[in-house]
Amino acid sequence: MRKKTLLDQKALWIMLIPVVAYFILFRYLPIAGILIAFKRYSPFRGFLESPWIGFQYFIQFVNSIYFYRVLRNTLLIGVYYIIFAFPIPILLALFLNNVTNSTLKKTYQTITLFPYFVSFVIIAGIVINMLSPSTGVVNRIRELMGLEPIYFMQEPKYFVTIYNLIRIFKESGYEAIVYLAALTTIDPTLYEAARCDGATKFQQLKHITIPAVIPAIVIMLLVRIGRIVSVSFEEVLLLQNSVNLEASEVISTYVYRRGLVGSDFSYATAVGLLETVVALILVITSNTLARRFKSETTLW
Amino acid sequence: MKQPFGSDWIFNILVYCFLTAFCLVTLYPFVYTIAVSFSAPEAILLNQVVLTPVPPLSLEAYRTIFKYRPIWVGYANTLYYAVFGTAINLIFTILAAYPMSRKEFSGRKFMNVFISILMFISATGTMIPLYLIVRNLGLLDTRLSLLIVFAAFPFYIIILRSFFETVPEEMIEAARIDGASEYTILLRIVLPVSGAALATIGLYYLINRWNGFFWAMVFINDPDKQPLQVVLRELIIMAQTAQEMDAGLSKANTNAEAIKYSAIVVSILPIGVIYPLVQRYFVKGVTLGSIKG
Repeated sequence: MRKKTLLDQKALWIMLIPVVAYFILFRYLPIAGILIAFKRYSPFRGFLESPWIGFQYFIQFVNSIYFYRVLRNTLLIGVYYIIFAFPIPILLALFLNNVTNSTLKKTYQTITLFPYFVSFVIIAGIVINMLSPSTGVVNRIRELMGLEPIYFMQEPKYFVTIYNLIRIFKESGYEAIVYLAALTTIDPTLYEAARCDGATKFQQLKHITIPAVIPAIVIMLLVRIGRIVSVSFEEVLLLQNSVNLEASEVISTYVYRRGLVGSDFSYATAVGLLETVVALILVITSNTLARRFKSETTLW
Repeated sequence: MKQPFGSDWIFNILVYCFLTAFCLVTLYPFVYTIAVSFSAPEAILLNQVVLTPVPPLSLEAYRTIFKYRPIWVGYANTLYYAVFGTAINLIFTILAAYPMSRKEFSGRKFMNVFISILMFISATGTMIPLYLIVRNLGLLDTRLSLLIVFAAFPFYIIILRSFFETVPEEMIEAARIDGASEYTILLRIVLPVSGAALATIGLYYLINRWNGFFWAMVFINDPDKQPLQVVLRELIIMAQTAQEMDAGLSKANTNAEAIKYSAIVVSILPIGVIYPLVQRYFVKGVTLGSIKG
């Protein structure tokens, strides 16, 4: 039964007016605007006057050489991320959890978390300069070892590696916090009991710690897989140049290049819509799986 | 206590080695940047810097950067966007979260769906229409565009709503009986007990405002209105790329090299100073989000 309340419905609705207006104008209207993917949009004619053309731009994109290229690059970056970058924060959290000295633990966490605060422009800038063939330290070290300099940013084959290394560097400390939070839910008496039974630290890790974080790992993994096509776009854009484009052009940067740089508004929106649909299906599937998994495990 | 001492010893070594190595690798790019920024220009050109500044130490890079106007214009703009942008973010987020957090509010269900749906829409899909809307509204090249287009993020509204829900209903109902309006309740009861949550969410918004570059680059062409990140991108990334493409190995301009590294140091500095103070709110935020996320 509903409790009687003196709540002033009208006042709350009035409070929401600016919020709702904002979301309609800058969040929902752009979603409606996706319809220009099915029109030949011309800025001079405007949205309503531009003629409908159906799926022409979708067909044009799927038949172009870019379709395979951007799809491959997007998926490659995502898959490499899950294989190489995803496990690092887990390791970091498991190891941090084993540090008993709290000052040391805090120092480790402060250092590993710091890059998350620094903008991608700066991180990408530092990395690009460190990898420079003429003034970068990486090639300096190669030189000292008697090796030829490498134009890292100009070679498409290095792109995915560089991108993922940067993400490991920037985000591992942040992602580790989630796993650390899961680790704090472990009952400390479990460790005490294990120690009394003579379990080594490695055995404690294997039989107590890891089983406790597995739910968190599975959920984070599902979230990652759900986002696999939505490659974080600013980072890629910052590391791109005309020479490594072959490996670095992903769906979102392609939409930017065709739409905002090339003013191919309708075509770019069509490409973006394809991504949105695929991403939506992936996210909903992975969310459903994560929720089902959550309800089956007692820890989360 | 009896323990198989030997294997724990190996385990501990492994833990500390991994963590120490990870921290050193994390710190290295920053140490290297600082080292280059203080090194002699000739040493930079000959690519001799590896870990520590190469003498004779030089402040030339900093002298140049202090006279380099675009950086400071960018700084001032970023401060403007950060202060007013975060204020707008917090106001919109609070105004949305409070009504949504009241169980007796008639629009609660609608608003939850209205806000939550947006978290499933990828930004790539709406990139072009959003740009066209901003352009048609005549907001391109205005500071207002950046402030208002990103006035609130659905995710943080949901987090703050969940937090507001934990404020005891009896306390709020008692105030209503005393004749307090919803605005008074929000300002006098709900907000004062939500300090930590507001600090955390404000911090996330602030970082977004401080570090964001893409939409600033798209919306704003006027150099007098561009934030620091856009200026830095041109100075550090575009310049380096152009240099590698055109001149190849041989030519690098002393001044340009020096400017790059001192610019990085100058722009990280405030983050480095504030970071230790706000770190705990940040850590709290991740767990705050994972409760309902």
